[in-house]
Amino acid sequence: MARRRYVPWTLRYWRYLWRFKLTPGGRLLFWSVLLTAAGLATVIIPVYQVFCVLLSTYLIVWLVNLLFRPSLLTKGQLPHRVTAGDEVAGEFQLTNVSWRPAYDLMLWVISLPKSLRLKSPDLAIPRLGPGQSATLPLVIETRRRGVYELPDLRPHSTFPFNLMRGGATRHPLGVLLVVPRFHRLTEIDVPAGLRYQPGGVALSSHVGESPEYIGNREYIPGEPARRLDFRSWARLARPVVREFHEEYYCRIALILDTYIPRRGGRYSDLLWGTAPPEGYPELESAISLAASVADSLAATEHLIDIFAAGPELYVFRAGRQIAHFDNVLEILASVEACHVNPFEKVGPAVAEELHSITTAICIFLDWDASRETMVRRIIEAGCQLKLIIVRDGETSLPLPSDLSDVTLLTPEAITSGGVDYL
Amino acid sequence: MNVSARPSTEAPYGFERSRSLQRWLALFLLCLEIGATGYLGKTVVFSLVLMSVTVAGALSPLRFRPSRQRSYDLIAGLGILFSVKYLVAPDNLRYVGLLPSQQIAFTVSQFFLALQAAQFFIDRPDHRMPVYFPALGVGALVCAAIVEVTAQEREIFQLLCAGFAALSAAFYDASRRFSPTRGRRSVGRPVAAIITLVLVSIAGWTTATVLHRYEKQMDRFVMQFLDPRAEGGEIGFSDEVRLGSVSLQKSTAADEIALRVQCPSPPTYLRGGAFDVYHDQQWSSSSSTRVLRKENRPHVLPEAVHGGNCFRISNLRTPSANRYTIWPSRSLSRNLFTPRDVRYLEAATELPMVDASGILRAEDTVPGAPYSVYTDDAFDQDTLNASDEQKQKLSTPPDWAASDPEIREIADRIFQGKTEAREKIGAVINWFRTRGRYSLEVKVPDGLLEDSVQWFLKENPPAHCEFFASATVVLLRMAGVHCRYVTGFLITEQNPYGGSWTARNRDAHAWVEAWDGTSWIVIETTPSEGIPTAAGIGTWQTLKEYVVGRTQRIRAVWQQRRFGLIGDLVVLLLTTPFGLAYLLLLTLIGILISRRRRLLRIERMSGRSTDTLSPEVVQLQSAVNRLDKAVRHFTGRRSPAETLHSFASRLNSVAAGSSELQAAVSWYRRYSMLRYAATRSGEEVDALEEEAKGLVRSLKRLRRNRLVVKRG
Repeated sequence: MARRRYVPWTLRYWRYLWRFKLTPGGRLLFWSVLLTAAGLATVIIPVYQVFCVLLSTYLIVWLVNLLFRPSLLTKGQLPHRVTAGDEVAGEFQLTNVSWRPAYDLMLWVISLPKSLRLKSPDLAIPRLGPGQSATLPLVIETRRRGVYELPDLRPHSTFPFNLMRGGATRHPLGVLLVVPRFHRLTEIDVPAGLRYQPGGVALSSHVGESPEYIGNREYIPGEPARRLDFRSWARLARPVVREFHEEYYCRIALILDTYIPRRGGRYSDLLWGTAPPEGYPELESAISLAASVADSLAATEHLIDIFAAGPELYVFRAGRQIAHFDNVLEILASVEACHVNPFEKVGPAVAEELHSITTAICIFLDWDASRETMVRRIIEAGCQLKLIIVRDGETSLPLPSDLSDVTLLTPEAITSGGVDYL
Repeated sequence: MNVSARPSTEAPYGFERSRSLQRWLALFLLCLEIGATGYLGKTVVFSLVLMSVTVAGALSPLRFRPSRQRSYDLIAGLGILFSVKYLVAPDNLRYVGLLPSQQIAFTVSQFFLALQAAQFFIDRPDHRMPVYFPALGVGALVCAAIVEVTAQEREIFQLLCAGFAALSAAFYDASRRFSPTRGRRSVGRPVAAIITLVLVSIAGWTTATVLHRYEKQMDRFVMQFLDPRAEGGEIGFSDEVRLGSVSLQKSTAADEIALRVQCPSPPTYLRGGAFDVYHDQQWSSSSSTRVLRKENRPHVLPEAVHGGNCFRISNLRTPSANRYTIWPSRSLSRNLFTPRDVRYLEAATELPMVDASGILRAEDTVPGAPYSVYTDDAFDQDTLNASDEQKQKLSTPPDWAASDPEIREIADRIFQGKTEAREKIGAVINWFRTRGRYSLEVKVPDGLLEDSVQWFLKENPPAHCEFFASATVVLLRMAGVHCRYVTGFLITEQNPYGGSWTARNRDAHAWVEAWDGTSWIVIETTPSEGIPTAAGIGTWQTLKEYVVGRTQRIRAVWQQRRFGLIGDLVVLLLTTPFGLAYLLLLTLIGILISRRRRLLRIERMSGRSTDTLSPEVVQLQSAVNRLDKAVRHFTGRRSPAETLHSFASRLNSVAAGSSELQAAVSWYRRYSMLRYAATRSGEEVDALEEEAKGLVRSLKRLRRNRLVVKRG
């Protein structure tokens, strides 16, 4: 288990104050108190009066909020899986287990990932008597795919005046899987072929070309012992092996490009932040398109290898009932953008697999020298190629004229469902 | 294929009702703000126009839904509008006199109000007023309140502030959407909310009133808290000193250290101020000052431990110089306390000044920063070294002294038959020695019409050094002797640990310097009980002061030498008794911590503390430890991971031909059985322990024999 990083209590308390204790109105009150504290310099001008009133409001509301801190029992849960762009909603039952009534009960989730947004956090129950129960809805808007470990739900009271939150009750929300949104393709034209699969039947499922027994022959030293036919050996008094017909499948590599160059230098994330809440449009569209392609190929008898070219090469094999399409969506949900050009690093790893790949479907975000090198390597390995570039604008290098099956798509075309055929 | 979950946050939540209430509260809030700013600024037209616009915006269905860009344009447009308004008509008679930017503040306040009014015309997706609406009001009130107010205005504004707080709280309260309540409505919530509002108003009012009434006391309290020694720090040594200021310095935090001095001989009198004019119970200096210029440091000066520039006051008259390194307290930053006849100054200052009396001052020194001064052993024996005007002032008594026959008579009596300056000085000293009585508190009669020094000379009451010094100057000047009144510290206390000289606040002193015809000499007429002497300070206090002084010195050296200091510190640790003692102490602490950690680790590994073990187990443990030590010469150490049986097997493999080792193997096996047995008797444990002792002895013999054989 990973060790939790030590955070000083002052910082922890500040986080608690800022993220939970103070509502948006409370935060403004806090800043106003600090601003008007300058009025303490003199009593000649009456700025100090504004300060006194605001400070009194802050302190007394804090005290009253502490006095009316509720003690609640929470029941309910959220769905664990949702498609990006949809809302996930759940009803939570709050029961007042205290001897006194609880006022202005609301729900809040501290530090929700920025791609998720709490919708309608201003819903409140005005009063809950001792032992009484009531339900509050919790709606989370998902703006981007991903696997999110949701922070605990914090039922609380904002009495009085919706300036501060009080209450120590927590309710775990678990993990939320937001799978990428995609549109089903009506048809996909995959340049097909067959290639020998060294793994044979172990790679595939129980459906399709099973190995076929041809006959026996003499054992050649060095062959695997598991193919020995011991009955025939006993009968003939010399080692004999069984011979099978080898296997040939159509195996498709879906190579997904995740390289998004940084806007600034190495530490630009500190300035610009990491990915925007909605994600990078090109990458999200490419992932959506990858899901569409995987969905179309899932209906066929192809083996699909998904290569997500990031900081490390993610390889996932699906098709022929090895894995369900839902698993593909889960993989695509967790793919993250890579800010360092990964092709030089992952190129050799992909090349290792090319000898058994029939067709490579490359979904790229740009066309440059490193990507061209990879494509050339695929073609040289004898694989069929289908190249799709998702980009809003010109590519870094002009597209080569010798590649025939190249499609250039805009993110809008993909997200709006305008791509039916590939 | 997409997974979806529908939201369910629509009705029955009171959306429309809360929206409407929030809007009304925003309207009232803005009207109150406009009223408050209009009242303070006495601007009727603007307030009426803005209020009309606000009401129109709140009531009419006219709404705009601007994009984010248009919203920024709206703010910028209003900003430009009010900037133009300020440029065209900047003067508001109320907003002048206090601060240069008062006018702008009032315009900014109007801008905030207009921005709030504009919110009523904006159609938002959730049909609500923005959460920052009251914060804009705070800005408007603060900017409008930068104006001097009357008592009535202050009270009315306080009332308006309380109203603002109440409406803002209600605004945020209405920013939620409540689920409809079933059954009987509860009155508890509104009652509690109203009580809270009342409490807020009372607390706000009380706090503001207390703050207004006790501002000065609180200011003083805060300043005293921030720097307890700031008050009265330099009052005895500034350009003008009143009688009583040195005694105040003496009595304020009397035991606090004012100066630390490193010098080869006792520094005694360190001067902080010298004064020639006495008027209305106040001494002042009329001598001109000159600015000292930076010079290269002569090689004959001993090197100072701190950095800074070197300044020449006069030429060295001997080949060597004495160095006085002075570490002042933070409250004595402006004065440079020095002995008389200083030749060179070395300090972190750019423009030090020196006056005709040789008093050094520097306005730009860092509080608490050290400085060094250099003197030589030669006396200035040439001339009085002063202008005619200056000489006149140094020998002129106050008018009341010359005109008072009683004083005149005292002076005649003292100086009868004395012609030389030295004789006159001696006569004055003798006169005060025979009749002077010391007291830090002087009981000057109420309604005294004459000068208090005049009264002191006539009545001879118990008094402190300032009275004695002032009276001495008056008498000497009546006899035509050039003299001046000097304040500073008389240092006689030496810290035994570091050898530095210490001046505390109670060592502040006033004395006289007189020209005896050949040189300036110090005249002390204060009775002996009033002269600062080394007081008995406890050992721990002395040690603490030594450590503080060293730390201060190290810090100054660090600022100058940075990493070169580390080498010096190492040398210091290895060459001084304190350093060696410190190293020894550190080593001891290290050993203790190490042993403690080891013990804790052992306890953690064994899962229990040795304190909780039964006596039999401790006895057995002791026996096995003893035998382990004896056996390790034959088999090596028994590792913690090795079980007793496996160790016994290993021992057995080397025990061939040795009955002692065979016995040890047997002992370990029996020990293992007994140690982990469910029950054990004391006799068995004792027997095993005795056997272990015997084995240890025999194993030692065996080892010795083997060694003898080996050597043989």
